[in-house]
Amino acid sequence: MCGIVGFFVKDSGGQAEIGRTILGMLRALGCRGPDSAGVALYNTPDDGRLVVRVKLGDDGELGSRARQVSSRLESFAGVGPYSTIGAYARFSVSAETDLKRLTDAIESLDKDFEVVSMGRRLEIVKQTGSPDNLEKTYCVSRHQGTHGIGHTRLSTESRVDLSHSQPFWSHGYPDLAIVHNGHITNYHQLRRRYEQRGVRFYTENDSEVVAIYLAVQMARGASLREALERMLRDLDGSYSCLAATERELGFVKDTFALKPLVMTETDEFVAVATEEIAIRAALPGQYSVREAQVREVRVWQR
Amino acid sequence: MAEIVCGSRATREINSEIRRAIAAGDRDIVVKDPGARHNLGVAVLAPVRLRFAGSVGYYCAGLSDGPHVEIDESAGWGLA
Repeated sequence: MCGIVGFFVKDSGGQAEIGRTILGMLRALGCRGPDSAGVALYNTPDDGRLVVRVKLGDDGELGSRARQVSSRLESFAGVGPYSTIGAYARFSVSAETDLKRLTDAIESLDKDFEVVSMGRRLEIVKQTGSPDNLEKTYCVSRHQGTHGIGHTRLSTESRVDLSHSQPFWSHGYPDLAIVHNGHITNYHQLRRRYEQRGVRFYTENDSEVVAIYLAVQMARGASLREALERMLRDLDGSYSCLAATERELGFVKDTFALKPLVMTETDEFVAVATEEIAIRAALPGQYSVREAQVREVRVWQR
Repeated sequence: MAEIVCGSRATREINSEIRRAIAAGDRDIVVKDPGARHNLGVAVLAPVRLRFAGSVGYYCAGLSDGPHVEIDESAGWGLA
């Protein structure tokens, strides 16, 4: 059991209080998953540069680890100064950077280092514990932007740590992130297939394969909608899934419709969540909420 | 008729108020702004009319015996 939420503001000028809303939605779902909490938030693009968030480790002297990553990146052109908050270092790099080479340079330094998100607008923060803890560490509620997704996790099949928490960034595909509630029952088969092609898996969490699957489809030219529709053909099990890109928010609900998902759409916003209480608690006003249907795919784009 | 507005109150407090209204003799109770909360109206053991003016979450009116329950919008799993 997990809780997932998504929030999309239709015309905000990029300045909507998405952090506050998504945190409010996650708090209402906290009892669905006390193991970890995380958000993927989308800012307004500023200078076309890419933001890279690096997990420095689960404990220890993180300041010196950040310096270690920074000095490794000195050989890359267009790497800006970094900041650290909580378990992360945040770098801004030129959009022309070779992302694979950059990721390899960081992650080969230490097994604890992981590029958790990368994109022009995407920022992921996640950690073990409740949504309240996430707010204490990262002040999620101060974050402004256009849309985002969030997750509270009750682990059922893999370990509880930062890397196994959601949202998952689709490694190698800028700005694409997912949250998933359910189980992917052909996970091992898909994983073997992808690993034979050289794709690296960072965790043993079956949700990670959703992020990889969507990235593979979209790298072949599929739209987010097409990629979510193909999921219904290729991924078995029970799932309600939200995915976001630089400009889109979408969801898919599986053939068995075992995992709850409800949504509302007004002239101002779209909100999607595992339970209606998340939407009602975070968004006052008059609107109707409906349940997502079997095999339903929706995508909103700005 | 008793009217109970949920506002920001906890579920336990709302359910206590439903029971207080029944104890005071009310037979027609409206719960406003339920906000899709879980466990609303549980363990009501009286033949009252209990209306939720909005959506309720999981287990609404669970473990109840006797009330006539109306829900204006949606209900989650485990409805009585």
